[in-house]
Amino acid sequence: MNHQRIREWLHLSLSDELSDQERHLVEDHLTRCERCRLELEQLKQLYGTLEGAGRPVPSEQLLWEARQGLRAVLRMERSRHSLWERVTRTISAWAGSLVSSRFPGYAVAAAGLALFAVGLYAGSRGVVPAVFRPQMAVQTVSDEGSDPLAAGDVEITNVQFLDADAKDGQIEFIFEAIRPVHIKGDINDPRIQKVLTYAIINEQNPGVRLRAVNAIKSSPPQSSDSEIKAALITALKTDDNPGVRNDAFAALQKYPFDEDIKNAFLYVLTHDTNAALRITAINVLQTVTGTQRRADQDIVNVLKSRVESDENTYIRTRARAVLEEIKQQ
Amino acid sequence: MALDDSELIAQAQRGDVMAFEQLVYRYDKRVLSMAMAYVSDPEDAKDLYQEVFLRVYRALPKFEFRSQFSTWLYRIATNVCLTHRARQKQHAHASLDEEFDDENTNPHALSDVLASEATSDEHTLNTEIAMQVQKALNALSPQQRLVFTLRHYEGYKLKDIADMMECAEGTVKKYLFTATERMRERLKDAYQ
Repeated sequence: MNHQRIREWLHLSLSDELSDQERHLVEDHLTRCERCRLELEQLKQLYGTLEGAGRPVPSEQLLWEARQGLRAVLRMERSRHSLWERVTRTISAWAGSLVSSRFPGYAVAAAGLALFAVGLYAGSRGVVPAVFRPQMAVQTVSDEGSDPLAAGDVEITNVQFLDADAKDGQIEFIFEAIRPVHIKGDINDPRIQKVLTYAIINEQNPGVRLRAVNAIKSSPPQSSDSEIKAALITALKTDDNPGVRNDAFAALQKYPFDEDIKNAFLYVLTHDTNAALRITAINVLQTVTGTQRRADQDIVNVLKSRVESDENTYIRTRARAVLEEIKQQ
Repeated sequence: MALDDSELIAQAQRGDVMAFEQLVYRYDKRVLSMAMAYVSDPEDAKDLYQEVFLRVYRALPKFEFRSQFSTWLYRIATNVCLTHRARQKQHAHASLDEEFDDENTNPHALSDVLASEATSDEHTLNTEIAMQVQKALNALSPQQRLVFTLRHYEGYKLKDIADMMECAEGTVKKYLFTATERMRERLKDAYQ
């Protein structure tokens, strides 16, 4: 057994990656070889040093920034998907109408070619539409009352053939039928809330996100709307627009104060880059602690950390004052 | 009660964006941590993080539960890391196995991102050692660094790492051996 092989196995033995047979061979070799025993000791010291250094743990601030960036990227991705659909529809319609007016027989081919060209261009630029798509039940055109094209304003998009062979007289495909929906209803209606939740999380335009949050803020919360609450907490923690975060904070204040909301407010106090929001968080937590019989240790710990490390003098002073109040309770 | 990964994946595949976010938040700290170990610069780490989860978002509808979600996610993260380094290298016109100059690394980056949990003396010492470890890591080739990170920090078995990197287990062993030897050489002052 050569030393080079044993040296490799020594590394693997410390990572618990040797087979039983290999481990026995190493153990046997170590009883006879001073050099390899020394080598193993040195390796153990190295592993100890690495363990002492610990793995790189990203700070909460860095994680927060990364999540904000990701949300913006995903919002863009989703809107690009919508844009993709609009572009393909427009080009398809344009090419079809242009050719059909003179050469009706070539209309379909022209539209297909135009789409192919767009596809090539998009592919070359890495523009690939997002592919989240609801799973669908198979419908036949003879199904009564389930015709997805019954409404006149439906737009057909993204047609994909599953079976284009019409020899047996049947074909099968998937397409997306997009129809504008105009809804007016009670803000506590689950369907309305579903749209609002979607808007808070996904809308590219911060003005729309703000209006969605405000709509929720202006209505009393219901016990059943946990999804809305989760969306507000997500917006509070990660929306890149301070106005949206501020209004999400105000909306969450209307909910019963629980662990989720407490943790969200503490998160703001610790990580939000906007000093006004951190001050709001202190003020709200001060009110909450004033009603508690026993001091909440999580709140106390965060206030202490703010006293020590917040860059804003006013926040450090306010945190110290609230801590004093808690002590005297 | 919290949903398990499969339920969240199924919901996300049906277009539920909040389910996708929950899934991300379950793993993203480890992905960012891996990215930090790999590139050390916080801005680069955030880029890697975003690229990983954007690819996950695009590919999730095709995820068929043939492997653990975490393994699949790390396979994507591995690819993103290696591609990222390859891209950087293309710009720098340098070879993959070239040693990086210590001056090219950002000595302040690690202290910017390390969570402070120890006392100030311990923290200073740990941070100093951690910085030396990071410098030694930066001197490794991308493949060696990735294997070292996945084995030592993420605790993956070599077989799983080979699966993620789509190469033979023997190759991974070789990377790990060479990486550890080079780390040992660079860190000998810290542990001897």
